[in-house]
Amino acid sequence: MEHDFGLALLRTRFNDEGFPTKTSEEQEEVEERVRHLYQLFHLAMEVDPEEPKLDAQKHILFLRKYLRGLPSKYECLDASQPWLLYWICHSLTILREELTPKEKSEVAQYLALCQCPDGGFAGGPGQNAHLAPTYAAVLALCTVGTEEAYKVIDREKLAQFLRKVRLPSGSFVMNVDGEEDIRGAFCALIVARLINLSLSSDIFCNTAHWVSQCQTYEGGFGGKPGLEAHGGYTLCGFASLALLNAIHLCDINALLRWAVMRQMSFEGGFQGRTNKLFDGCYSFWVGGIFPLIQKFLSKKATNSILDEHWLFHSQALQECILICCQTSKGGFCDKPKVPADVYHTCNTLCGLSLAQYEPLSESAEYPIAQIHPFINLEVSRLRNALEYFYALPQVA
Amino acid sequence: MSAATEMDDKVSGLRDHSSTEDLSEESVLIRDCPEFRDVEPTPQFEGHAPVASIAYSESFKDAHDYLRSLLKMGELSERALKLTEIALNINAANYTTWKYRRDILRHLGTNTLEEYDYIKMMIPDNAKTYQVWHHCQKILEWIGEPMDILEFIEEVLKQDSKNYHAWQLRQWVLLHFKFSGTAEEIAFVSKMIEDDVRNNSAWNHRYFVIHTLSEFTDAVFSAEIDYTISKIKLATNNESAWNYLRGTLAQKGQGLTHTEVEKLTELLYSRGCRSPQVLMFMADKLREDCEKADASDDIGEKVRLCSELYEVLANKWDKIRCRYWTYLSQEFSAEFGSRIGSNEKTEVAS
Repeated sequence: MEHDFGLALLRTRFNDEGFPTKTSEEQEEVEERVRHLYQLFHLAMEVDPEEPKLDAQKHILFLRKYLRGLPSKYECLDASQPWLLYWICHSLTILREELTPKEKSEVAQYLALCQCPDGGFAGGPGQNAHLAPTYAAVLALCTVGTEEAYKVIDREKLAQFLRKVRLPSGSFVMNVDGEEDIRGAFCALIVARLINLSLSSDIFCNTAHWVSQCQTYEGGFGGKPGLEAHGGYTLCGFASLALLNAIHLCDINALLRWAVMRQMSFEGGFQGRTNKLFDGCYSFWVGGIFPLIQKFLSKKATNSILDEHWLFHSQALQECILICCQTSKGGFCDKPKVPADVYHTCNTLCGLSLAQYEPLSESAEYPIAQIHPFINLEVSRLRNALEYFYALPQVA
Repeated sequence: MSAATEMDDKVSGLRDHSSTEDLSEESVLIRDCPEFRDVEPTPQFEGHAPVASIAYSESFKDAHDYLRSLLKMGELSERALKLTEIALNINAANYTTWKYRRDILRHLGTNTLEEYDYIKMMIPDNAKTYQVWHHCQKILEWIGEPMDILEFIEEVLKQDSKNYHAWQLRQWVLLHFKFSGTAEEIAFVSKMIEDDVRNNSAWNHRYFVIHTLSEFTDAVFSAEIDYTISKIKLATNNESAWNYLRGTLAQKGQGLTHTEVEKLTELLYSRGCRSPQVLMFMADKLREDCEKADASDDIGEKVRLCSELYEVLANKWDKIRCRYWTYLSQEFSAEFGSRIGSNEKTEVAS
């Protein structure tokens, strides 16, 4: 491809075709904010051709500050404390920043307090077990990656918890008496895969079939059969099928079309649903779908593009993350003019890592680590965790 | 700035802070309530150095320290119910508190209609929180009838017409209470699409009503195609409408072939419309024709046109997806490239 500085020739503004609606007005408003940033970026690039840059040090400071303590606006995530630890630790790992042995131990001990006596992890000490914090806690512990951390997980009891939240249909509720949706199957499967629970056990009977029913006429997956296709749920659904060796149950060409269409023509980032606004967090949810689709398609494809490039525009996504989502005070945000938070920091960094580790990329431009696309652990942490848990006897 | 004025600023800053806190609390702390005098509060952190710990406000800590104690004792009482309400006002995303609240309600046999009013009051301020919607669903299950929930959801959708949870509960209500009035639901969703033809949630709901709640007859099929075509004419690059069209055609099992749809794309293209959605549909249709053709059919012209469309999508009209169009084009050429007329072969971009 010819070099298009700042992708000015590529970007296309939204066209309301003389028929404005609420959707088009909101879209144009966001594009205006983004346009302003890209303009500033062009000016900056004239001075410093290295732009746009990842300010890793600033993000590390931001994350380290939050590892010590979070401001009170995070009260609403009191029932998601393992998530907070996962987002922070995983982000630091992507930025190649090692936790101290003391910090590792403290994270492991805190997550041990979140583990429930009857199995599974809760959103905080004294709360009930729930699949989302269970997923987050196991991933955080694998990210910490010490024997102390691995040993926190009571695998037998975790399997018992999974049996309590599975439904005969093959889907899962998130907690006892809680809501049912596709996140449940995904969280259960990822955790089971990591800590060596048998994926062919009764726990996942019918799960592949139930998940495949969540694929919509648009090609993406919804939270439940009938619901609108959505970036987060699509990664959950497709990854679940992959873990169950059941990709053949979905229409992969429709999925690919839906996924490529999520990239915004002007912003370069991904939206989560058709005709919605872009949000930095979908850099991971939607970006993470591609490696898996391409791996599957390349088995039967006749051309090599699948083994060389992502089918989304990698440079456009990276510029969007660095120019529109990176904040000057450290951390990343959903879209311009919104404050940074640890969730968006983690998911944009994951997206950045995915985009940079394009199959044929010569060397990483930025000092960031590679992640596994849908298990979402840094690759060496994943390898170590699998080595540890697969040396133990499998839990049926 | 003098020391005195600096101090003033700090004090007034504090005052501002405390006055907003007072407003949000609206009640005294639990530890000052005589009703809870016999309860020993349970702090969250016991003997461990907390990492990434949240700077909880006084009222948050107070309510949750007492809640933990009652939960541990398993107390199912009126005062516990009251306490859950205070805690949920501070954090509506705490699923443990909601589950506890339902346990208390079951035990006390409290009036579920009152609880229905309560949850309707809670939803608007927490419209993106899973737990409030789930609680609402549970309460409707208990009541055993839909009450005025469809009207209520309509109100919520007026604030945010793409609220995922609201549409999700709507689908659940329609299925759970076996709604037969699909005409009314179609009228509702048509109005939503009327308000914003790009509202994909509304299109998805339409698909749900047509394919899950009603019988998909030939008449319905034709009516839906006509409806969608009329909407595409308003905004030719509206992906929501095109996806709906594809979905509807797929349900019929005849691929993308349809006389009216073909007329539409021909009309739009001849008038100079180059919306990526239009070109994309045309390319997919040509490809499908080639795939369906017999080995002896002359598909040279179709192959040439399809390749051309991929080429202009990649390099002109939809550049952000250039890799995708190139991939499709290469796959297509590998399969059908040899069936193009030999004299035209050189013109086709690979």
